[in-house]
Amino acid sequence: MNKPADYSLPALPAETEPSSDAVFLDLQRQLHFEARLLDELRHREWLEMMTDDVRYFAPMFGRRLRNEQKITDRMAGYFFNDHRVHMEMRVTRLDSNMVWCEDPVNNVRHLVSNIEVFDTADADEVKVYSAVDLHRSRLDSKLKRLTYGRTDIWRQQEGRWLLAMRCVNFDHNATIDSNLNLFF
Amino acid sequence: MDMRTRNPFPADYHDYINTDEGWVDRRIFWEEEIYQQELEKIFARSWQFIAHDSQIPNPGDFVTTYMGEDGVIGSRDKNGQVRVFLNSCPHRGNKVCFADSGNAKRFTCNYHGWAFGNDGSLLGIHNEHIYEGYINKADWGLREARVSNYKGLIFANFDSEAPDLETWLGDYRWYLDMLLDNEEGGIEFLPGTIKSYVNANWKFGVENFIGDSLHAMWNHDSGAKAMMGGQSFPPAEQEGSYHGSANGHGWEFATDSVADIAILGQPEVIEYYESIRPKMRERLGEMRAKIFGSLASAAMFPNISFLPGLGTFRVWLPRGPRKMELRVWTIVNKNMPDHIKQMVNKGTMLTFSPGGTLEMDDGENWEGNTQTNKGTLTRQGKLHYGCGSTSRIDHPEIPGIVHQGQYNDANQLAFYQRWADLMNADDWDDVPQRNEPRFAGKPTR
Ligand code: FES
Ligand SMILES: [Fe+2]
Repeated sequence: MNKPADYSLPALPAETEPSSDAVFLDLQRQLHFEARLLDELRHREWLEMMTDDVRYFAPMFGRRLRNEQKITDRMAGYFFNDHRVHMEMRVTRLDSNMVWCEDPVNNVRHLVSNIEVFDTADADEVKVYSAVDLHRSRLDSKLKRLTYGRTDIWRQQEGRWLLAMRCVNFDHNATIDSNLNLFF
Repeated sequence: MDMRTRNPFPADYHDYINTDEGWVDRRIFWEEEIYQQELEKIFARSWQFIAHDSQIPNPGDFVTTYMGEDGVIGSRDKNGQVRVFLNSCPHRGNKVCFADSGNAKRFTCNYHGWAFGNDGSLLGIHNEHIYEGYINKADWGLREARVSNYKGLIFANFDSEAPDLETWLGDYRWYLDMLLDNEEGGIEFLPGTIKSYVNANWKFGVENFIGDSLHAMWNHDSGAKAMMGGQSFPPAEQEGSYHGSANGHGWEFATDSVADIAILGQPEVIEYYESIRPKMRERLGEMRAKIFGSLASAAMFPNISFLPGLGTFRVWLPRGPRKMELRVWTIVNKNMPDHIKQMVNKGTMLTFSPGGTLEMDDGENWEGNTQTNKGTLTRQGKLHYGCGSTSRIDHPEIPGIVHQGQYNDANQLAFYQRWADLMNADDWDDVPQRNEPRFAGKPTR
């Protein structure tokens, strides 16, 4: 890493055909399992689901008038733009037992739906769309709810599906929570 | 009745703070009446941040933001002048622009189609013939604010009596130059605005950046360790570190390390700043070249904050006494190579966005600071602001009100003193000058 080009947001490969039912079921199972790992705070196991070259990012779009295109600036903003090292860093922090605002534990539930799976030009990779309704019960016992869409690239590697790319699109123009201390 | 029960709303706002005893009354973080007074006495009269020149470089470029709870549009007119006006139609009051930013020749109100130019003037009305003889359009433009620019930062103020921006900033310009003018070309804002809501009083954000280096070592320990390979922040060092304050604006800093830049976790960014440091020394002098990049944080009265070197710049927009909207940008030196700019951006998002490893720890605390005051008994108490109460010094080089040691409550109290000064004053002659400016009428670089 640390090559300059790595700092811009990656482009998601195009989809070709809808995937077979078998692949669809595999990925659906995978997304549900992944959601449970996150809800149970099993972050290390979740990390094992990532490829070494994984990209995990959330672009940012301002609210602009319809007749003005979304910014396609090479440095358009993002909430995060992680490589694997950064994800590991976040997990290390969360597991340090010194993240005061996660103690007591904030309960979270990722409800994953609207799953669609498509083949791509790469025979080992599929493109997966999903929508997530994330409920979070905070220290102040207030319930916070975030919704977002995801576009993923999952790669088949030694018989397992690994996450190679995840683009998170938040549905809120302003983040409604004081922090995003979790994974999406 | 308990002795601590006090008259609900003292007429003198200085009764809410005590700089000698070092405490602040909790009610200023909670009460609606006090908040309404803040909107009138502070936000309707202070110079506030609208945008940076680089965010609206071309004629027609605009942003929307707030001054207090007043929505405003900041737009560059066809002559290249930035104009700032209320974002509310003088017909029935609707917003005239709902976008965050963009480029527009005119803003047309959705309700009846009154159209305003990017200079705020009423240009036309849908089916205008109906109004024949009933309106003088020249009288019905959008209400306009004064606009002034300091080294690229655009400020606006709706008070025609307020002192000019240079006087408002005063000796703080000496500090601000370290951010805005540490290199030829100055700074620019990178694209993208992060917005988030925090259920906290706006002043908690400001006071955190104006002087609270103390919290970093405890609250951000997990983030610092994760970012800096298991290392904690260096031990608290009061020698060679300071609080500096002028006109309620403040900067807390050390003079000998690269802490803020190092937190970015991008060695090449440190190398970049070290490479320009000799020039910075010529430009700003030995002292300011030493300060830049150290463990530092800063805030401008009333609601701007930034970390010089780390590149996060934000405003805390009040949304009632118990809620604020945080808007965050990344700033970089304009002459940095692109890949260095991108590294700074990545670093600031990794640390100081709502998903950042350092930012995430803060909001929760400020919400707690604010929301506990819902309790009647809780709200009767005071908060301790006495750390460093005897540390005031005179410094031959550092201007403003200076205190020895960056682990200090001095800047916070100076901020609240300025707050009380403005809350009390009916006109500007009543606002005391708390420090004798060294640079009045003189450039700071
Ligand atoms: S309210 Fe704006 S045109 Fe009527
Ligand atoms: Fe902090």
